[in-house]
Amino acid sequence: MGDFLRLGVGIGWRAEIDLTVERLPGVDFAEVVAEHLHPPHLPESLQVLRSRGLPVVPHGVSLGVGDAARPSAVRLAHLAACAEALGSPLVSEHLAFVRAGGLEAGHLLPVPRTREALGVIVENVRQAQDSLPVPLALENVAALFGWPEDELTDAQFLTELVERTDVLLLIDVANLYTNQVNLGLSALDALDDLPLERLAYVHVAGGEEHAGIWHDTHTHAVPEPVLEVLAELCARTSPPGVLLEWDDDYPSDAALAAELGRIRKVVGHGP
Amino acid sequence: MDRNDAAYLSGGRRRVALAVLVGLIQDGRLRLSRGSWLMPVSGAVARDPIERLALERADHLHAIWRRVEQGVSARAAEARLREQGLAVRGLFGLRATDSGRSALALLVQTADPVMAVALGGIPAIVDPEVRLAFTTATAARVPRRVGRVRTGGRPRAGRGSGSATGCGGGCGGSSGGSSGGSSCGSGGGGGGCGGGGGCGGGGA
Repeated sequence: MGDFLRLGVGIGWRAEIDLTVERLPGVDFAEVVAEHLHPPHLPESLQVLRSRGLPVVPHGVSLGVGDAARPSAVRLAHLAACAEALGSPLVSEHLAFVRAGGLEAGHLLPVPRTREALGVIVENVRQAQDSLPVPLALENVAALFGWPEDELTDAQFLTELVERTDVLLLIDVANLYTNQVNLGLSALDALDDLPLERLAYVHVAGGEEHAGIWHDTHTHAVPEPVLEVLAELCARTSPPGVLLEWDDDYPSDAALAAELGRIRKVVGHGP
Repeated sequence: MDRNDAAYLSGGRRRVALAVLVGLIQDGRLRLSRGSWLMPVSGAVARDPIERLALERADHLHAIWRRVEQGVSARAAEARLREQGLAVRGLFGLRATDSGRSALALLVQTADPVMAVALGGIPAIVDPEVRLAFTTATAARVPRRVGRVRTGGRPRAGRGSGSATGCGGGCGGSSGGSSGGSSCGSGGGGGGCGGGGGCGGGGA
């Protein structure tokens, strides 16, 4: 991993907390949902962050790398334009299936982990990489279900995808935890098997449990079990970056700063 | 004389609303974002009915300022001030008495930055971003916020994956979810109040 990807500890930039993100101490980088941007007219806050040299990573949520169809050229051009406008070191997206036959799923659905699907997705990723001016990182999603015809584990699928495309990984430890609670998939086993040498950065987020189901809401403090998964990841590799996601019901600046402090402590960048 | 009455005597209902909003932003219960949007932080608790109006829901500063201003009872404030001999109603409305002016002059010397705003209005706001937001709020048309996600309210299950595929829409779910104030740093001081001009709807 090149030094250009040493990101540090960051937070997801959202318009509602733009001044907060600008003012929070110890924010080393930020991530912005690419679909919220119009590259020719970046929000003033992002321009402020960039003027300080803070890396800002466009994070796509609608490309559909895991779709059966090839990624949309328009969506790829948008991601590329975001990266150019922000001078980003990389772009991230989800390894997810989001649409088919003209229908939008409205969710980041798990891809069928079959060899046939892998072949399709390898080509999709290559096409995306060819269209982007910077490296692409793909994120593991929290799955609502698994496809009955799955042949590979999540980690096996991602490992082979990485080997065949050289794509980077964005590991969401909250999603690993979610899959552990909801689907019984061990987060530690996943960490053991994932190609962490291709890790670009990590997502951390809070959620809540209802009736035995973990909801990855991004609207709560990060629970200890998710921080424990992060600690296990840090025991295996030194993540280039770790980013807190918070998407609604934003707490006070002090609470967000405290969350970043908890993360920093786990990754060894703080007291 | 408490902060709200000092604000009322110095600048009327609008000044009271200003001081309340600046106080909430400063103590972190209300968050200002660029574009002059105000949003209560999660779990923010109002300490009185006026604060409750301010923390009711996210909105543009212009709208919240007006809402809070309309919630300030001029009659009650006047009654309190007149009862204490701090103000009298003259030909041109309420004005401070000598006692009222003395009381305001004493308050000017306090180090409370929000009291400074109550007495001195917008110029006394220390934080430049907050000051700019209030300065421009009165003249501003309320803009439509592009790409803004749901504001306030209770969390929704599955938000993490909600509208994940909507290009350009308000998708907050950026990590493939499963099933699912500004630290204004207002320091001390700020502009002071000359002590007790007339009020009853004056500038902020």
